[in-house]
Amino acid sequence: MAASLGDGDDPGFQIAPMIDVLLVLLIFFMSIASTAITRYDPTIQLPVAPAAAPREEEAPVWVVNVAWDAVTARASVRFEEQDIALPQLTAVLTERRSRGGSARLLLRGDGAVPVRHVQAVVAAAAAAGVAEITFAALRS
Amino acid sequence: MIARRGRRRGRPGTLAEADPGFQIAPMIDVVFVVLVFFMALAAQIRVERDLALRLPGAAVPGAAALPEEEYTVAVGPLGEISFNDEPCDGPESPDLPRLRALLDALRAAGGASTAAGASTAAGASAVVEVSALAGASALAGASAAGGASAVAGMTPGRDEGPVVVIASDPASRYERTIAVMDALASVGIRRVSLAGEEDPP
Repeated sequence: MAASLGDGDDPGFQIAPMIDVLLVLLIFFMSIASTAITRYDPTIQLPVAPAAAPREEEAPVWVVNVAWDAVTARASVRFEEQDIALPQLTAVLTERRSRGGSARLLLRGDGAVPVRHVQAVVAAAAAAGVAEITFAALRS
Repeated sequence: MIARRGRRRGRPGTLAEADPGFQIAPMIDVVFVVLVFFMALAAQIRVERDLALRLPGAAVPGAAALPEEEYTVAVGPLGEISFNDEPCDGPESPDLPRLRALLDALRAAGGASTAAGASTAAGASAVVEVSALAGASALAGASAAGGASAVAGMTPGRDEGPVVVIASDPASRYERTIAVMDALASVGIRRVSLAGEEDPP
């Protein structure tokens, strides 16, 4: 029978499916990398908090990055890959909430940033009515 | 056999008839390079964790805080920590041992009735409750003459326990505030509010 296995047929190495699988893997990792870049600013040195809880990955989240440039001593607030002023941030969050969106706000602040910038972001989020804020931290 | 060899020798450099076949060795080379690349990439990934803060969305201005036992942890401009206005940890200690000891004692003393609740708290998540600005403005109204109004006021929480206010100097480094929140989370104090100044318009 032609379809029977174990009769000594050598199926040989098929290069085409191999390349298919490799390309799928490549695209998978590229997509992961791109989402990570759009949401997270890798230049931020997060503070360390060993007691922080593991992240709930499935929950929707709005990520606000607060970066700190030590050379120019300037902080920049980024929301979805764009620098944003705090009144605009309040407006954007208010608008998203008015469209029925609800998410927690993930604040990724650089450990060296003066607290006033973080307080300002928290105040802006509170003004927009965002009810839940989490602070990102590293375990060690 | 001999003829074929002769034919190849006769036309060096042409690839048209040469069938290199599938070379498994270079294929494995490439796959290993890709594997090492992704392994190196994975080493860069640092797992982030969260310190949670929950702003009660429907804060009622009139029904704000009745803090029964409230403690203040202040972060100075250089990162020094004081607990109820008494100096506690210096700017150079990253894990705040004295503050942790004080908070432990506080938790043990005030939390006798709430120890069960604290132990069922999910390990280390500090649920920090801060009222929204709308709620805080009522609180701040009393002290608005001073110019600095509270960003956050406490609302009655679901669980009992001491209330800790973190008052960070606006110029202090953010990591010190996170260190205080980490200390609070590690001892299981979950009713925390943040105090601060409003930005000048």
